[in-house]
Amino acid sequence: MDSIFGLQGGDFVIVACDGSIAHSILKIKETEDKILKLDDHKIFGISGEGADRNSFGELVHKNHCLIRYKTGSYMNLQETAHFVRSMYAQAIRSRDGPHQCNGLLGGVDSDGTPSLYWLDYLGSLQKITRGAQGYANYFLLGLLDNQYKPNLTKEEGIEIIKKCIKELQTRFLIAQNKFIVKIVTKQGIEAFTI
Amino acid sequence: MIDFDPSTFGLAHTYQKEDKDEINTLALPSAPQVIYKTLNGPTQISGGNKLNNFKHGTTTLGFVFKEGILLAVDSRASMGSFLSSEQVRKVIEINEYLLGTMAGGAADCQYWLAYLANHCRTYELKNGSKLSVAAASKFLQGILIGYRNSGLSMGCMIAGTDTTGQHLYYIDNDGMRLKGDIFSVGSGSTYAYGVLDNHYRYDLSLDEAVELGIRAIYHATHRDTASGGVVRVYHIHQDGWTKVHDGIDVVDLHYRFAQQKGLVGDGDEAKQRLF
Repeated sequence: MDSIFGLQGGDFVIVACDGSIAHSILKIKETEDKILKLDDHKIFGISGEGADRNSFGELVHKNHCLIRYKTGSYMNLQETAHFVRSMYAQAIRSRDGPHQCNGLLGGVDSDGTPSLYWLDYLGSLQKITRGAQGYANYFLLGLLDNQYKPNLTKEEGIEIIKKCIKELQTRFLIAQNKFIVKIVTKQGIEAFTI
Repeated sequence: MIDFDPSTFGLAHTYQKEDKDEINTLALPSAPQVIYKTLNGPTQISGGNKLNNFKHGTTTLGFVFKEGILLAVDSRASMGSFLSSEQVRKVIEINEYLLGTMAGGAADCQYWLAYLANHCRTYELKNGSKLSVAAASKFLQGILIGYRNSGLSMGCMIAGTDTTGQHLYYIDNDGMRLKGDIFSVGSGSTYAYGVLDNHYRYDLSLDEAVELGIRAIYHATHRDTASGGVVRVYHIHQDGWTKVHDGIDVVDLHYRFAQQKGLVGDGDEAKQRLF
């Protein structure tokens, strides 16, 4: 039931998530941050049931750091996306089964180019400019396609995300009141709640 | 159970299995080598329907406020429609600075919280400093992730104090670990949330917080058949924890609260006329 959605602009990437954690009919928490910070210029929004989201996120984060210590530098976005995809793919026919979570990996490389990748629990990987995970797809893809244009500015991007949040709050059956939005630019990551 | 090899004392020893192999990737923690499998698979006492599959008969709650953390629990244990005990201790005293609450399978909670206590003490002896609440709860999460499909049933809260303050975590048998300010777990949790959400403020005084905890548990025990017995209240502060109330009978609370409203508590508020 998590909503994760994002878009890539001219020099930034935004990933937004809802903050609620639900357990049968109860909303246990409303302020859970589902967007993981991999390093100063990469974020990974993960959607999935509690434990899988948490444990796969930890796995990605720690292995990302391990590679940095082994090789001396952080991977760029393309390398990271492919690495995360390979972690998903290795798990598919393993004893414990696939990692039951999907994600949106976004970030800005050191030369300033932004990228957004859509990752699936079966190991699908696609570089996109706008997208969502989960039920949010049904409500937001039309809106994102309609509002997107190449080389968006940061302010335009935030406006589009606010429209997406308003749409989810209007039409989605599940009440999602608090959203956490993270924006990556060449200067770093900004985060705020709406 | 735990490998006490004296040559490892005093070392920051985090890898125990793969030391000799080259570390290529970090893997998910594997479950500790204790044989624990249910004989007949997970039992389904209540909650065949996923939507109402609450963690079994209990109400436990905890919230963070300016004086620390307050935990309040009921004390009823039921086996189907049979009340096996009205005096269960659902707050487990892990050590002087950590408390765990019990919801779901009593054996699971007691065993794994005792295992956690063991781990905390071993860490303290090896490293010279106490395990933080975040680390202790993460250790428990790792175990529960390892036993994910084995039929464990636990919905516990870990609350404690460390050098960074007082922290409250919710951990369940799916392996979910959440840090938060207010949690209530168990079949009566929805009723307790109603009272808690209405009166909770961060700047409650200790007396107000204790009163809130007692009231929330009372309301849950009044409406939920699987909760009842007595209310036990614990307070966690920077010096550890204190047991504020060891057992207030909820039946006494019922009449006390009714009297405060000018009612008798006999349930006849609607004054139904039969003829």
